[in-house]
This record gives sequence, C-alpha cells and structure tokens, in this order.
Amino acid sequence: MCVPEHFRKNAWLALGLASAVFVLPVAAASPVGAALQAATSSDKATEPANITDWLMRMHEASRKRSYVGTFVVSSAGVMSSARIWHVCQGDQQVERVEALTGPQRSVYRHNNQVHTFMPDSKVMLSERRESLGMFPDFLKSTVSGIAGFYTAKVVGHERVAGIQTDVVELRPKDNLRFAYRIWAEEKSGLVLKLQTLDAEGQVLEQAAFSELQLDVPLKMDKLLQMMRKTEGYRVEKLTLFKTTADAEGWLLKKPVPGFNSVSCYRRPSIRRVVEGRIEPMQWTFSDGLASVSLFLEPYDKQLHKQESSLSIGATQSITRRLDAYWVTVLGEVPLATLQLFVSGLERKQ
Amino acid sequence: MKTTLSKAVVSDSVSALADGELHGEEVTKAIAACARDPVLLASWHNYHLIGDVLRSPDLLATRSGSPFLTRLQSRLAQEAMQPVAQSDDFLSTPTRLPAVKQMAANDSIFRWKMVAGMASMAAVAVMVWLVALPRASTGPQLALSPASTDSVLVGSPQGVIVRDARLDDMLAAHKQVGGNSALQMPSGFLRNATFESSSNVRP
Repeated sequence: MCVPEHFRKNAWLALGLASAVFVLPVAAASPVGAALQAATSSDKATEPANITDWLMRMHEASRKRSYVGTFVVSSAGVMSSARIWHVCQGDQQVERVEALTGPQRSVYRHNNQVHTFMPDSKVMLSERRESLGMFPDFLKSTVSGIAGFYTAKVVGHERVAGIQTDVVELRPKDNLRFAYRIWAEEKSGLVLKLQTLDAEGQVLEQAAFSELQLDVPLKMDKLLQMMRKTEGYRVEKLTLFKTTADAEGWLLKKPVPGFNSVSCYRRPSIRRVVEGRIEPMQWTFSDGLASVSLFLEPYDKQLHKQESSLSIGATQSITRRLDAYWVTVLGEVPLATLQLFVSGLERKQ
Repeated sequence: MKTTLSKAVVSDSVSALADGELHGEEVTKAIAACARDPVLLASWHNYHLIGDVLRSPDLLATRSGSPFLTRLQSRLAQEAMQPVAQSDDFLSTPTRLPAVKQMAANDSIFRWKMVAGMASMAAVAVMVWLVALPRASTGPQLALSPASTDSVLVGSPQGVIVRDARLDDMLAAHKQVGGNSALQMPSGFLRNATFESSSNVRP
C-alpha cells in the first residue's frame, strides 16, 4: 500500500472534492450537439418555407423587438457574457452591450455607428461599421445568394431563456463552409441562440441568451444620451481607407465558390507599436453567412517568422509567405476553404 | 477469518485497490467489502474522481487554493521548460520566457490552437508549459512592450496553443469589418461585442 498516494487522496477528499464534483457535470455536459440532434422535428404550417424567408424573418425580428437580456458566448474554451439592451423605434435601433467578463467595456450601437467605451484606459473608440447598415433591400440581394449554398430545415422545438423556439439548421451544400443551428423565437423569429458546427456536427462555437425579457419599455433617448456622454474619455476615431484589390495590385485568380468580395480597406494602424510600418490591406469576402478576411502586407523578416495554420473556436487562420508578401487569411470557414483563397491569390505583374 | 477487520484497514484496502496494488484474493475481498458497505463504495468512486481530475487538470476549472494542487502546478511548470520555434532568436532571449501561469479553463485571452499540417512541430512542442504575459490593455503600455508582437507557443492538454498579438488584432479587424453576414444583425454583432470583451482591448 503506497502511503503517500493514500494521503494524497485523502487530502483531495478534504480539500478538492467539493470543487471537483461541482465541475465535472459541466465537463460531462459538453457534447451538447449529440443531444440536440435527437430533437424531434415537426411541421407547422406557419414556418417559413425556405432559407431566404427564414433569414429575412430573423432580421425583421431584430428590427422590431425591444429587449433586455444576458448574452453568453462560448468559444475556444472561453466563456464571455454581456448584458444587452436593445431598443427599436421606427427604422432606428440602439443597442447597449455591457461586458460582464474580461476588462470593463461598454459598446453602444446606433444603427451602424458604434461607440466602445474602455473605462480602464479612458478611451472611447468611435467607428462606423458599414456592414451593420444592411438595409432590407441589400439584405434581400445577399440572402438570395445564400440559398445556392445552404439549405434550411427545422429540426426541433426547444425552450431557450424560457422562450419557445424553432430550431433551424442551416446546412451547407458543399464542404467549403460550416453549418449553423439557430434557435429562433416561434412567435417572431428573433434569434435567441446560435451554434456554428463543423462537418462532423461538432459545436465549434455557441452564443445564446441565458435570460431575456422581451418587449421591455426602454427609452431610446436615454441610451443615446449615455452613448454620447464622452466626458473624461479620449475619443479615437477609427477611420478606414477604402481601396480596391485591383488598385493594390492583387487578384483572386481562382474565385472560391459562393464567396464574393465585399470590401477592401487599408487601416491607419492595426498595431501602433511598430512605427512607420505599412499596415496590411484587408480584403474581405462573404458567402452571405460566413466571411473571410485576407490580410496582405510586404514580407518582413523581423516580423514574419512562422507560417502557421491555427484555429480558435469557429475561426481558422492560415499564414503563408507568398514571394515578397506575407498573407494571413482568417475566417469562420474550414481550413481547406482558406487554403483555396491562398492558392487562388495572385500578385499582378 | 471473520470479516471484522477494522474500518481503517478495509478503507486502506479500497485505496490500494484503486491504485491497482492488490492481487489475487485481496482483490476479491476488497470488492466484496465495497459491495457490502455504501460508504466504501462512495470512497471507491471518489478515488476514481480524484484520479480523473489529477490526470486532466482542465476538469478542475477553478483556481483552487489547495496546497497540494498549487505544488503540483508549480512542479508541472518547472518540468521541461523548453520553448519550441524554428527561429533562433526567438529561443535565445530569456525575457521572452514569461512567468509560468496556470491555464485556467476560462482564461480570458485568445488562444489559437495549432491545427493539422503542423503536426511535426506540435510533436516537438508537447511539453512546453508557457503562457504569454497578459497583454497590456492600454496604448502606452503596449508601446513599451515590443515583445507583444511575437507569438508564443504553449503546450496544453488540448494541443499546442499559440498566442499571437498580431493575429489577435487581425481577428478583431476581421470581426469589425468582416461581419458581412445575414446573421450579423440578429446576433453577430452581439456575439462579437460580447466575445471581444474577453480579449484584450484595443487600441
């Protein structure tokens, strides 16, 4: 009988077991996907018939409902949560996201204008996000393309944050993209939970309301006042310089099926530390659901040491040297898809 | 022999059984004792639970103050402090070997996992127990920390983890601009605003 081993176990019994027992059920509950797959499907007459209608309905719901809730994101072993306030009035939307984990931070959004307050550094970052200004018309054109590469199917009906939902699965028609499982409120289509899944059905990332109050009377004015209250903060404007891949001398000779170029920017600086460096150009593609960013910059021996293939939750990245250039491709798609972007990329002569 | 062994002796035999130290008839006796006594059976389960946690520290998603665990962690940390990289100067600078820190299950930093295609590197890097110093969250501090542009390899039970500040910045830029998704309005923005907060904040 090994005495130290015995002592060790007894010490654990006294000190560690309470926490160990507490933690284990969490670990055991992780293969969520398998359980969900078993959800029964049923056919209701009111459900949208196709993916386009589903997506439009979800989008509409976010423009019509006001709510307060707690949003939890779980990705790459990291769990983050935030308190959310969401108000709609006519075509105006204001949202407040108060981080509950990590450094203190408040994000306010008024339509496509975003203010991020960082109390620790007393900095407020002001930016305009074009992708948030997707008007219904623009969305319609985007969504119609999605139908060529994904199908939608109701796979069950479950409760999320105490609210009855339809579970809709968006499955890719090829292996160039991930699948999504969406829990949408039965009544309105409001998205309450979203999972990104790989080809094997493994959940790569999930986000959900853990608690939600719908149709709460919130005052838009009050949120806007808070959003504009910048006293004591240094305001930094993030200005992106629009450019085109063509003007920068780049060409995607072999397009990746379903992915269209949506924007091309040069940033003033991604990282201020290195003075006088040319910041990478960011060229972004989207298939309507997933997006991929290509970062292109001149190769720098000091800075660019290691080609790599990395993943974090649903996001994958590939870094490669391409002659005199350094290419970083990043997106919520399988690695093989990023590989297609890298191999299809060409420097114009 | 009557089965009037003292409680302590029987308890020891169950412990030994869990350690695989009993043989032959002793095994039969210990199992029989467990079958009779629910308390012994509970200890049997507990021993295995403890074993599981010891083998997979990630199961213990808590910063336990247990002196034993603390000692175990520091011992693990001292073992095989050999960073792995192909670049020489990355290896040589001692300041690039930051303080060893336990990887909590919900560590609030981005952790990139090395994936297929880099298997040879992963194999060499298995026993590296390094975590980058947390990045500064404000501009001036960032400016003082040129090492933050480097990537650091970290061995973990999940595989080889890479911390790369530049890649984190690109990820943030991608989330800002690249949210061209029909799911952006319903939930993508919330997802990003929530998840970004767990990374280090720019600028």
